[in-house]
Amino acid sequence: MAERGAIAAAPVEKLIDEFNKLPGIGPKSAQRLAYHVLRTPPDDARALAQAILDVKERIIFCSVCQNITDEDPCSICASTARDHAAICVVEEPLDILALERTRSFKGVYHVLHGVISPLNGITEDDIKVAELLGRVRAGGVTEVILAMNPTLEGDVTLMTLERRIHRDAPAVRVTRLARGLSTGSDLEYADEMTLTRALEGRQPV
Amino acid sequence: MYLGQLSLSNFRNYRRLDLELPAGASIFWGENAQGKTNLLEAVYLLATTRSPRTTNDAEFVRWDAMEDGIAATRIIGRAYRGRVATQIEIALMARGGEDGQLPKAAKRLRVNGIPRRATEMIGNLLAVLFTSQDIDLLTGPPAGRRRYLDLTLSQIDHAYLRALQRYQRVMQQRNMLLRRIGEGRATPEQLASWNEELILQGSAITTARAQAVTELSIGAAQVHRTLSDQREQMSIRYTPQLAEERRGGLPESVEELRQLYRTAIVRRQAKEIAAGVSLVGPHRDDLVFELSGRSAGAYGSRAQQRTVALALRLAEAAFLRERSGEEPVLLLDDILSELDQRRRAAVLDAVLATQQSLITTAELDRFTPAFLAGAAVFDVAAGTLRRVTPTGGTAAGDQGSDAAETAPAVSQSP
Ligand SMILES: [Zn+2]
Repeated sequence: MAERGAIAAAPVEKLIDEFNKLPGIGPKSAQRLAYHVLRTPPDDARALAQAILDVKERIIFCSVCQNITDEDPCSICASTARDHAAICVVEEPLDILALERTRSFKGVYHVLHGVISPLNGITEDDIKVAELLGRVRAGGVTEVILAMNPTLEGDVTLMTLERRIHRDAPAVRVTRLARGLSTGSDLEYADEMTLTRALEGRQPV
Repeated sequence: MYLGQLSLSNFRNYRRLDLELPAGASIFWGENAQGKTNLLEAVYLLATTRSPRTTNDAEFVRWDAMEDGIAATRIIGRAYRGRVATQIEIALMARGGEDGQLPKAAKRLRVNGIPRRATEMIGNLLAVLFTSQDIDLLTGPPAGRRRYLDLTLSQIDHAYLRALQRYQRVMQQRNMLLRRIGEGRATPEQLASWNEELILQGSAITTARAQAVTELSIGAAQVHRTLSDQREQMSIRYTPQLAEERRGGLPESVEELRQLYRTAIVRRQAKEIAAGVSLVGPHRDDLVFELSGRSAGAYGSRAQQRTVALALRLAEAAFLRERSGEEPVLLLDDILSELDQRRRAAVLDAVLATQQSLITTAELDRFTPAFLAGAAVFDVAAGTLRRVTPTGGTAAGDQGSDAAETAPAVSQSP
């Protein structure tokens, strides 16, 4: 850190620091990336900066399912081809990509953006639980599939949602993915066959 | 079951060690503080992934390997079950340790070269460790007795180990939530799901512990009769916190057990929130070692306590054998010198009955010539090992040139 300060100009220094904040990027990689940007043509650099800005300025949360989108409601929530009576609840937007790859789910989604974890300062008020309950209470929903990752925190989140949905809308069927996923594995990384089977074999909570 | 090879790098006082171990008895002979105990600790680590001596993994790292602020410690063993060998490996990456702080260590486990979790590694090598501090199990705090149960059960019951790991995580999360509720940043209602997990894992742990203690108690009583003059009856009694909730001890069915946990948790909720920690669960369990119904830890003489501890270890070996169908490796850490003739004979009988024993001692004359003749003897000095002839004398000839012939089983770089 100290030696770099002596040789890099302030803007380069700043860029290195920004890259260093990214997940999985250490000081060495941050330097490499910064010097790469330094050598790229101005148009390419501008395109990169614009793409980053667009993500922040044009991507929003879908007001229905909370997934990231550039239009509200998102294409899945707006689709008349989807079954709006079945909501599949996932932890993160990436989980939707994994489930969509299976092509076996025709319903709609709800993204929690996290799981309950007091150690990380996250309670049910910090994730999109209220929004889900709002959708369920509004009617027209017959089944909620809880597709949490098979971790302790995923299971606790699942139990909490089950209890809340049952209290607010006792008629709604609540199911969970079949135990095809091994404990501790991520939905995001599960292969399509495993996910399809987990969806088909879903069980009442 | 036996350990055929043991390799250490940067482990405690060993820079590098490659050791071939035969089945049967091996004796590690040397002065104190030369690395005998460290060897047994390494083997116990391979069996359980945990040390009997410390909960800070960074302590394993050879101290002068830390010079550049980062060090890799490696323990590799080859465990044989019949002719089938399994390579098990623990690697520790230690970092930091500046400003007088202990370094932090990250532990990586591998089985046959493939990264594995503890639940997948434990069970490939079974071990029972006898030490002169075993008496602390009777006289020390309850945490030591819970740790004893956990280490013993984890070796042969993967479901137990999984429940234990999950329970520990539940405790951390739930304690944090209790603190947040106490500070008004969460509501008691949010405890419900954590309570269910606590009850689920807690009941599994309590059930497994109760069963194990019953088996250990029967085995230990049997061993104790042969070790003592039979005037007293040894027993081990499991005293789960939950038993205080109900007259007549633990209920028979798991469903009733869960209900008992549920009632106890609800009853103590206000206290738990005030304390900011979980007050109900198997983390409050205890064991009592008794002689004719009286606590041996509280009322026994030193000699009686020593015999009870020895009976417990021998029963533990039988328990592991019964449950797994495999002979555990016996690790005897300098315990023979403190035993009288009769108890020493009982231990050596157990050694002869099992497939492999690793024994440390400062005095070879504790063994009969017949026993020594059948054992491999290693001389341990300052973190280096040399195999000496089975009769106990050092090999003839000058060490330097003969080393390759007299010590084919040991190789090490300085
Ligand atoms: Zn949407």
